Amino acid sequence: MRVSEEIDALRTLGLDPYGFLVFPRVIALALVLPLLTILADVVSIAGGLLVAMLGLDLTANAYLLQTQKAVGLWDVFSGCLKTVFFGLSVALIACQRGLAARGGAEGVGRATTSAVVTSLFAIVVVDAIFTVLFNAFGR
Amino acid sequence: MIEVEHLTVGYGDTVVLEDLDFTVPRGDVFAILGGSGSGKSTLLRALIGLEEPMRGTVHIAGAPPAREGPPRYGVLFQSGALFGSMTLAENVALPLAKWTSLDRDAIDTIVRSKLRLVGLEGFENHLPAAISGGMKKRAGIARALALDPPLLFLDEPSAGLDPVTAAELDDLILTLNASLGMTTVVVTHELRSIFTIARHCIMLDGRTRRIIARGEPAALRDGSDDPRVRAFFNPRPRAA
Repeated sequence: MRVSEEIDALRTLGLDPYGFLVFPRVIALALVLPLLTILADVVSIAGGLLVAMLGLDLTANAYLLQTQKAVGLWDVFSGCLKTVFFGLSVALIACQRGLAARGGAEGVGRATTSAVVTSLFAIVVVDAIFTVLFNAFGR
Repeated sequence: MIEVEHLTVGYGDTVVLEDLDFTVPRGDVFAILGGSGSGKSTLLRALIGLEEPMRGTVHIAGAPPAREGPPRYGVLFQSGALFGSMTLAENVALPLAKWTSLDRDAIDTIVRSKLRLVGLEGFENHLPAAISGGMKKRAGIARALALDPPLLFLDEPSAGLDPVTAAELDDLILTLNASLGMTTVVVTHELRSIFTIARHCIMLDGRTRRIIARGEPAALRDGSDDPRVRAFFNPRPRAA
């Protein structure tokens, strides 16, 4: 949007690019990433069930009981909680790189690569912070 | 309408344009000319408030260019700068929804009239990706006109267009100026456009960073002694 002058157009129309572009994306990713995580949790449990039944001769009931014992509510909740912050980090980094992009299509490519690499690094850092915090609070 | 005094603009420590003085009278079609890299678009950005001057002032109808609040002028960017996820109607409706208290039906009526004005009736529900470059520029003009501004800035409106479409766009600019009495500032280096639409112009020089000529385009073409001005208006390929 930066290189195709859309952000300049927003400014000349008296619209705030942060309110118009950044805020909705940050909120959307912070809300959707936990939902995606829940979907991923459900799919992974279902995948495990399939492998258990077809490869390990376990019954569905036995697999689900074992899973229930091994995975507590806190595990699911903490996983979802972290992803809210992952979403905030990824959205803010991507928007910052996007707004700072310069130099046509090449600049967009560079900004995209930079956003992906920085986001991956941010996820590792945020995850590490949560691990330290959870350990500190005995979780 | 526009008063520019001792304007110096640049990026960081780099000065692009230095100590510019000019005025644009109300109702004029005023062209900012110059070769590539002469600072035409930078000057336009300073006029519309997207670049802070290093020194000097810009006044539009007696006030500095607005950085907040409802726009006092329309701007057509070089690429059209339409929002790709919105239809043409939604693009034109955007400033109306933000800055007026009109209801949906009134906004729809204005949007249709603006798109009709630029010859895009029937394309209300098209996305920008589905229309040609010339149509994007027309839609950009419709959006710029949405709030009926008294002043319109156009950044290289005919750049990248075939000669027929470029001529149609020039006609549209002249029609808008004549029918709405709108002051129009055009950045361009297209000679055909300059002589078709501009009543007055200034010419920028990238080397000296200053205005090297001002006046009526035909008078500059026929009467200037400055070799840079003559070369601009009478370009000839260098002999092999």
